[in-house]
Amino acid sequence: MSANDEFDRVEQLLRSAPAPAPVPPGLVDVAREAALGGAGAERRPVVSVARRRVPRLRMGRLTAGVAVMAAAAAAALLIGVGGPDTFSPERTIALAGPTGASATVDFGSSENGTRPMLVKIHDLRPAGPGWYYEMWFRVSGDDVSAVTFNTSSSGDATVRSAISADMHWGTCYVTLEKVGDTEQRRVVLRTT
Amino acid sequence: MDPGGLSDEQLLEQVAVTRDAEAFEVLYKRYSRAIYSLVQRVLRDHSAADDASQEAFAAVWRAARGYRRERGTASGWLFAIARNAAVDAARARVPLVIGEPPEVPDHGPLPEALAIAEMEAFEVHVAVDSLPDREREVIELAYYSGLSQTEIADRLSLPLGTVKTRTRSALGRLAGVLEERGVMR
Repeated sequence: MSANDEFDRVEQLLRSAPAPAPVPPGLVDVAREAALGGAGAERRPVVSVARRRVPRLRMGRLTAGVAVMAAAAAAALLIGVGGPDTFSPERTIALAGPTGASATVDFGSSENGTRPMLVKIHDLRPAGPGWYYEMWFRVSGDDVSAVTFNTSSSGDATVRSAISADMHWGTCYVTLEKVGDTEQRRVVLRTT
Repeated sequence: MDPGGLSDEQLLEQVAVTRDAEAFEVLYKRYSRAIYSLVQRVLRDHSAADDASQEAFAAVWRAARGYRRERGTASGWLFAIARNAAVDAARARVPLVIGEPPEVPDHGPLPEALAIAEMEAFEVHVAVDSLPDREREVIELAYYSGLSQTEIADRLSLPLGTVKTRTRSALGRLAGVLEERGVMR
């Protein structure tokens, strides 16, 4: 890429990125307090290291660099999270939905603060363009996201993920989510 | 070693292994605006964005041990943590409704396109924040405030040539940083 091409690309990126929001002046102190020992520091388990891409993702038009970047990013939207490739389940739960869709979730033993999970979904209609599925755990009134995925045309999917090892959850459920619109969620599977 | 000279990956590992508060502060300085902006875009609410950003940084501290360099960049990991914090906050505000997937196809942007755009914006914000102050200033006025180079020169009481030089230098520096982060291809 020539220097001019590089500058054009940088300018294109600068123009397409929205202006960043100014960070409130006091936030650094609050964030430091929360992170380094404040009362809220341990209030919510958080997991998420992006790892595995679901099969449906269309990679043909993506450049390799952006693909790697998106892969690293997408606990947000598209990718399962880390965990060993294989494990012996310590516990299995079942989920079911109103349309006959079902899922099982195998949980492995905890390691390094996380617990691997293997999610197998059956007969759940593909979410369609602009939509995706997300698995959640209800923890003390909070919804904790575990993994996002889509299903194949057969309605099946297998997704690996992990949750915080010390997370005590009450309900596990799957929502249908509309990209960019957080108010469009619908529950499609729930623990039985 | 001065944490300011460490890479993002090294800083995260310092936080994970030695619970190095100074390394955490450097990470905060590098990523606070990008993370806050990302959270703000998801939540569209300043107060909620404050809380979710706070939660995101607390999560970075708590979950740093879960970061694995071989699985991806520190930047991608931080992006994921921040977006999860924002999405969790958004979910808490919306009641659940049992339903089925829609029959009518949605013609909106595909999820991967939106994910890439979000990630690119995140990386651009981090890269701009890594510029020296005098270069960052002209870039922000040009691209975020929409000023011409002449207007920037007037605003900053600088010769037009200086503004052009700083802009070009900044663009070159950004090209290097974004190339390193895999955004330029």
